[in-house]
Order: sequence, then C-alpha cells, then structure tokens
Amino acid sequence: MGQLLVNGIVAGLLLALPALALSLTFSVLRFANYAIGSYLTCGAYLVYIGNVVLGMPLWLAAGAGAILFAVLAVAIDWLAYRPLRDRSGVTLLVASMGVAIALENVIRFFAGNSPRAYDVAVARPIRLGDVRLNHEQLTILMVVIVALAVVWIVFRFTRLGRMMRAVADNPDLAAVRGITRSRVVACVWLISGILVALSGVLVGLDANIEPQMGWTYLLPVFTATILGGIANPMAAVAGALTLGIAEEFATLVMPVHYRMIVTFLVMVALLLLRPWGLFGTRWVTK
Amino acid sequence: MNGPAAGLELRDVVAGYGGQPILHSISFSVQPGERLVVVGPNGSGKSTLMKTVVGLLRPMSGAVRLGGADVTALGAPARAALGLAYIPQETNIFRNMTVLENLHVGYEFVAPSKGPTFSERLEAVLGLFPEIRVKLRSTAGHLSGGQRQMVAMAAALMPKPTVLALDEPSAGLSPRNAGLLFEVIGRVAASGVTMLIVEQNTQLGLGAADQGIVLVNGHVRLAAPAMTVRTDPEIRRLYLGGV
Ligand SMILES: Nc1ncnc2c1ncn2[C@@H]1O[C@H](COP(=O)(O)OP(=O)(O)OP(=O)(O)O)[C@@H](O)[C@H]1O
Ligand SMILES: [Mg+2]
Repeated sequence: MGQLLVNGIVAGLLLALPALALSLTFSVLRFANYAIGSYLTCGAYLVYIGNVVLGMPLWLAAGAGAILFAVLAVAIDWLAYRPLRDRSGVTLLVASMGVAIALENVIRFFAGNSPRAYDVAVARPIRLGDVRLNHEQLTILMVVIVALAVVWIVFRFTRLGRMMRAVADNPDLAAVRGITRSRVVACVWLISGILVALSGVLVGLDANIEPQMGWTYLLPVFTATILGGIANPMAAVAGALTLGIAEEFATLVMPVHYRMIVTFLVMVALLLLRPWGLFGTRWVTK
Repeated sequence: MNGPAAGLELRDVVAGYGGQPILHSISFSVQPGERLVVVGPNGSGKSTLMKTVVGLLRPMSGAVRLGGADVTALGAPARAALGLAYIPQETNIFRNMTVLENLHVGYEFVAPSKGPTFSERLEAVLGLFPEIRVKLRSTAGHLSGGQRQMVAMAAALMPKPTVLALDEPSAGLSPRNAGLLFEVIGRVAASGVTMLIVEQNTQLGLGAADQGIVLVNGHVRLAAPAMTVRTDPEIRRLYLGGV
C-alpha cells in the first residue's frame, strides 16, 4: 500500500511538469499545445547529447539542455505559432500537430529509432521500512518539487509572475496597464520549455530515451491538465498527482500494462462530466 | 502625475472591426485638464471610440494625438506609458488576482521610476476609496459590482495618469454609489487630470463635464458645452429616441 502510494506520487510528479507547462501556455495563448510530447522527447535528446556525446555530468547537461530547448521553444513559437496568433485555438492546435510530427521526424533522422539511456551510475534503492525508493525516483521527487516551488514563487511574488497572470486573466486590460503581450508570450515559452525539457530528462531516467517517449505521455499529460482545469497552472499539478496515484492503485484490480485504460476512462469521464476540471471552479470568469 | 496635464485629440478617425467601420470620421479634442463626456444610445460606438483612443483598436484612418504627440501608431502599452489610463466598460479588473495585486499591476508597468513610490500611491488611492482598504487581500472577482468598480478606478489611478478614459464608470452602481463615484471623479479632475468619460447616466455625466458629445450611429451628432447638451430638450429627444 505504502509502496503503491509512493510509486503513484512519483508517477504523478513525472506528469506534473509537462502538465504545468501545457496549462501555462494554454492560459496565456489560449491553445492546447499538442506538440508537448515531442517537446519532451526533444528536450530529452538534447540533454542526451550533452551527457553522453559531450560527456558532461547529467545535472550540467540537463541545465544546459533545458535552457537550449527553452530558446528552441521560443523559436518554434516565432516560426509556427506567432503568424497564427489571431486565429482560433483549433487552427493553432492543428499547427501544433504539424510541429509535433516535424520535430519527431527530425529526432528520428538524427538519432535513429533505438532506445538510449543516460550515463548515470547505478545505485542501490533506498529502503524506508517496507517502502523502496530507487535513485531515479528520488531524483524525480526532488527535481519536480524544487521546480514546482520555483514556479510557484515566480507566479505569486514576482513582477514576471504578475505579468503572466494578468495576461492570462484579461489580455486587453493587461495591455492598457502597460504589459506588452509578446514579451509575456516569450517568457511563457521559456519557462514551459525548461519545464518540459527537464521532464524529458526525468522520463528518460525513469524509462528510456526513444523517439516515442513523448507520445506515451501525451494522453496522461492532457488528462492531468484538464483534470486540474486547463487554464489554471497550479491546479494542473494537483491533477497530475491525482492521476498518477489513481493509475498506480488501479494496478490492484487490473494488470499493470492496462493502466493506460485508467487514463482513458478518467479523460472520458472528465470530458463528459466536468470539462472545466476537478479543481477548475476556482478560476473566476463571471 | 507624469507631468503637466496633457490634451487629447482625434482627427477624422474611422475605426471598426473586421474591416467594417463603426466610427465614421470622428474628430474632437479635449483640452488639458478638461472633462469631455460622450453620450449616445446603445450600440452607437462609444466603447469602440474608447478602445480606439487607448490603442486596443487601430483606426483604419485618421489620427489620435496625446499631449500634442501623434500616438496613432503606438499600441496600448506604449500609450499607457505616456500617462493614459483606461477603465473598460466590462471586465475592468483582474478577477483572479487580489485587490492589492490589481493595484500593483496598475502601478508597476507604467509608473515612471522617478515618480512617487508604490506605497505613496497606494495611500493616496486608498484615501479616495477607503472602502477597499479592508478588501486588499480578497480575490477581486469575488467582490460586489460596486466594489469592483472602485478597484478598477483605483488601479487606473495608481500610476498618477495625466489622461483618464472611463467607459460607463457608474454602470451597476446604486444611485448613491454612482453619486459618490462622481464625487471622486470630480476630485481627480480637480487635480488637473484630463478626462474622457462615456456615461449612460446623462444627468450625472454631463453635470460633471465641461464639454459634451452626442454620438449616434458612429457619427458625432453634436459637440457643445456640457450644459447645452444637458438642458436642450431637442437634443435629449434626439439621442434618447435612438435616431
Ligand atoms: N469586438 C467586436 N467585434 C465586432 N463588432 C463589435 C465588437 N464590439 C462591438 N461591436 C459592434 O460595434 C457596434 C458599437 O459597439 P459599442 O460597444 O462601441 O457600442 P456602445 O456605444 O459602447 O454601446 P453600449 O452603450 O451598449 O455600451 C455595435 O454594433 C457592436 O455590435
Ligand atoms: Mg459601451
């Protein structure tokens, strides 16, 4: 039981960063970035280059790769999304599908299809009573919690945070209060680029690095985000934890490889019953 | 204040949405420190006029001048930085932020760095609206309509603007609160702020103004001293009839 809870929390935390990134871009840009899975894969491979090809320690490669990918995310926005900014969310969603396919093929072209792994020392799991926690899980736990804390502090207490929340809340009012939208958009892509790239590294640690890795996470990330209420970034984190724990406990009653079905069921139930999310009502729109 | 009061002028402005003009060749000017009130039936283009003035809507032709400078090409953030503050007719606060955060956002992106500090301005603005002092930590979207209107006004005043554009400030207020609000507007105006006000309560609005404009179907039907507009029965019949 304790082990399931720990595994569930780790699985949830793994979803939390991309879910936060997805919801952050949605709240400011009003479109769901379908390419988020490919972003995750792309970040993981960039870090792989630093870690394995260039021989950097993983933490350094992850930092450099995350920043590099954040810049790439801004560039993608300029090339693909910015020209469509005034179109509907559906147009942008379709554009992001195109971006997803393009990115994935670029990755396949350069890296091939075989799975790869980061260069990290193998260590013995830690035991706390009858609960086992391996090193990858511990890394995930720490990185995600620190990243979430940083994002929360930026959101609540900084000028940049107020800028992003103001544009998410009321873009026109933000403009007449002196906030330049294009700057906020660039910051949002930078932040979500860093979050997604980091989560790519964590997924790569937890499993393998391969061109499909982001796809596997696409459905759970969208489900977690909608579970939280898509326009409310911090609630997306709650959605991710809920989903991670639910998936893990579902293994009590069904085979492990069917856990994706739980995500599907949660998604379907949500779309039918509460499309604004479990925690989404706190977002005031009246 | 960012500097001495600035005037506002529109010259032959044509503006609308999706290539369809709503405003047809609008020209008027507000002298520095003056109050101009725009009245007119629903849908006549008053809010469209305000959006064009503050830079949310680019005119198809014509020019907008602020303090003698042509600002037609500037976007809303740049015009705000020049001392132009605006309170929209609808959703005029950040609903998911606290009242204090609303005031902060009102201040920090446009206030000149050499000017008064945030806390100085906060005290000054809370002096005008003492009712919101106890609400500073509340989520703005949970306030009553009247309280929201006060927060909107307070946030717009935070950077000490030189020109204030108000779109129906008394909407949703009780007659008593509308009266109180216009008292505050009078006090702000007395400190030398130039004002452009859209107001459906014509007696209240025109009573607080120097000049009046009647806008009908996107045309200026009449521009005259506010007194004249207010008392002329023919004019009242004209626009109240929604010609
Ligand atoms: N965003 C928009 N897109 C397209 N048309 C619009 C838009 N906003 C307003 N309009 C149209 O422009 C016209 C003028 O609207 P506007 O809001 O300026 O009127 P108003 O005088 O402010 O009315 P009210 O007294 O009801 O506030 C209306 O016919 C309206 O349908
Ligand atoms: Mg209006």
